[in-house]
Amino acid sequence: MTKKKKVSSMKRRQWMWGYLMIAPVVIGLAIFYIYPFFDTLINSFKTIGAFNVSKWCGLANYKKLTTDDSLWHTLFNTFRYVIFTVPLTIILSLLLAVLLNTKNLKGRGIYRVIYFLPYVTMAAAIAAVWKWMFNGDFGLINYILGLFGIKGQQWVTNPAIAPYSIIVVSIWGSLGYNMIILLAGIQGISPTYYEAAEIDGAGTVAKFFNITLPLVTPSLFFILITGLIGAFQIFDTIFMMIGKNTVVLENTQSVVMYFYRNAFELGNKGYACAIAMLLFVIIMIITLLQMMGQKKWVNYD
Amino acid sequence: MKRKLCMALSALMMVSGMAGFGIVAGASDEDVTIRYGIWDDNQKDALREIADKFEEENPGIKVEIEVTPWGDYWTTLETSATGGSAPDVFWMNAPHFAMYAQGGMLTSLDDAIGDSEVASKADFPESLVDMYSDNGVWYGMPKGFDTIAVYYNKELFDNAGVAYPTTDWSWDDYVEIAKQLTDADNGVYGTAVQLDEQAGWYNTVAMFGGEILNEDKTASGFDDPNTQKGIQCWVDLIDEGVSPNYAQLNDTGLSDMFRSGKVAMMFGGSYSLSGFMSDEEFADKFDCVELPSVDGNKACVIHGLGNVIYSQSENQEAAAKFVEFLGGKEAMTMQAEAGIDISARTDCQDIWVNANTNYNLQAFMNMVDYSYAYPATMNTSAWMSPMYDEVYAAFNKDKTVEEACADAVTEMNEALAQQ
Repeated sequence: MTKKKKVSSMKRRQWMWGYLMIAPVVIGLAIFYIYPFFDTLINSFKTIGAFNVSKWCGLANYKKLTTDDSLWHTLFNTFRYVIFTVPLTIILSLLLAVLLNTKNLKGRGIYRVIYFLPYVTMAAAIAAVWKWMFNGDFGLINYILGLFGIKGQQWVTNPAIAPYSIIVVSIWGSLGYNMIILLAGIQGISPTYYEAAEIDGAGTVAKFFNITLPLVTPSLFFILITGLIGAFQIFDTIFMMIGKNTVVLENTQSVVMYFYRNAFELGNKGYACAIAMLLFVIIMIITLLQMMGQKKWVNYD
Repeated sequence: MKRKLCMALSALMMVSGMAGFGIVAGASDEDVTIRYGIWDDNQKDALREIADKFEEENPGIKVEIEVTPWGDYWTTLETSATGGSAPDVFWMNAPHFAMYAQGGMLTSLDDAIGDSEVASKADFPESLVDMYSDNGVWYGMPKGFDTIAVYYNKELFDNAGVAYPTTDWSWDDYVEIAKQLTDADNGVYGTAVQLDEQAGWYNTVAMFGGEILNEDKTASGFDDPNTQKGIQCWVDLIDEGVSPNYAQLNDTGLSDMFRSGKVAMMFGGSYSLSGFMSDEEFADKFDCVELPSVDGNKACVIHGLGNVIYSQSENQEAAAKFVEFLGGKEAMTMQAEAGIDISARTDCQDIWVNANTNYNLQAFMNMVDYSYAYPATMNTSAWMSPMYDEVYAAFNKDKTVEEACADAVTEMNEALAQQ
């Protein structure tokens, strides 16, 4: 009898420590993520005006979603952004990680810092500098192109080109972070695989596709999921490079920017919450699809 | 012992993790700090001096000036006002006044200051007091007013051998002079389309005889052919080659282009003066002149900021004293002499002009006679957003001016109907 009591009280004490340790994070999540989520959900069924004066309106906001042309164009912009940014980022950062992993590379530490720097730089600073580099009349890029006799474009103010300029800046910014994660994944691959392959006479390319790639899939899966979620939620870069009330906005606006515009510039906070819910559902579906698909291509050993 | 130490440390971690915001201020009864919210960094230094003077005369009250950039000012203010943490005193403008007054966010100055000797309603032009009164209750202490005139680069005029513009010039003269000053090879333009509505089309629309909103502010004025002329005139500038196109102006701001000598003339507000003056290399290269007339008709839009008290501020008395001081002769004189704003007080209006005699600032004062009040309604941004989109589409040649104005009418009326 006494033995049982000792075990359960020790277990309880361990549980208490467990809860105590996770309490700060859980409380933070509850206040800043879980509560706002439900608040947004409820707000999407109301019309909310200035200073949060609200009125219940049922499904009116959701009906408006289906008829809003701007929203469809915005979704198109966002999907286009995701389709270009995520695969290109992953491919390029995988390439960089493999290159950085070459044996006896001098200055590997320095390269890592250089590639990682954009990720730790403030989005506002990145947007400001790139915006000036892209400037149609006085920017650095057009100046350099001019030296080769190539006519410079209006990278950020031409509605046809602007979306792609933003994609370039985003890829540049997130290469470092993805590269570090993939590098760690690659360095975790046991060298015995490579030795065995070398004995069999495999070249570099064969080694990459048959050993490196399959065994780095867990890291790839991670950056794919986080990359997709981040790409769908893009706001900072576009907002700061494009600004408000310009002609270019229609072609570059992302869903979160459209949310911001409705919530703060047009005063339709209820409708904005409905937009946020739509984005949530889209991201949720895509993430679920990925989770289901992971068994097919991710190799956990 | 180890266990007790662990418990103490983890408790400390939890508390410090969650209690970042609960700083207990050692409040003495006397030292009150009030926050003053503004958006123009150019005016910060002069306002700091005014605040210092106020602190001298009111020991025990400290003023902290908070600058929030224009792009974020209103969204930040609305969020903080809803959340109870807006600055005690802050800048208000006409487009947002009705929203804040009717939302109960402002303290009535009739109650807070009443008939003060330092600053009262009688000291200001009626139009400015009306701008900041709602339903007969006075909420905003007029700070200043802005009119619009043309700034021009004297150096570029001298280089091209063109005479400076005179008061009675017409729009056709303006275009003609712009042609003479445009030097495409060197990337110099005679003038530029003004993308800011207050300094740009709000004036030309009135000059050509049109209006932005109808008289009761219930419908858009963009179906008036004269209004369309007021937009078309800007597109014509681009077509004539005397202005950079929309994309270029969007890329590099007009003020930057003007200051670097790429644009010779620009429509600008009196609020831009301090920025140009503080640029050491540019300060002695510019001057200003009244807006050109169209068929003898001059017009411009007038607007002025107001200082208001946050209704949920915990320092109502100190805030009221500060707002009263800001409306008083001392603060108004300091402000005008620093060149940051044309002081609203009737007895201080000339100081701004006389403080900087190397520029023809009288031009801005003269435009007051031709001015109409900046159009504002309960939810001004709801109709201004579509207006911007359509006007910019016209500037960018995505639509003809007729199409853009027709679309503007539909969208603006939709927004106005909901107010």
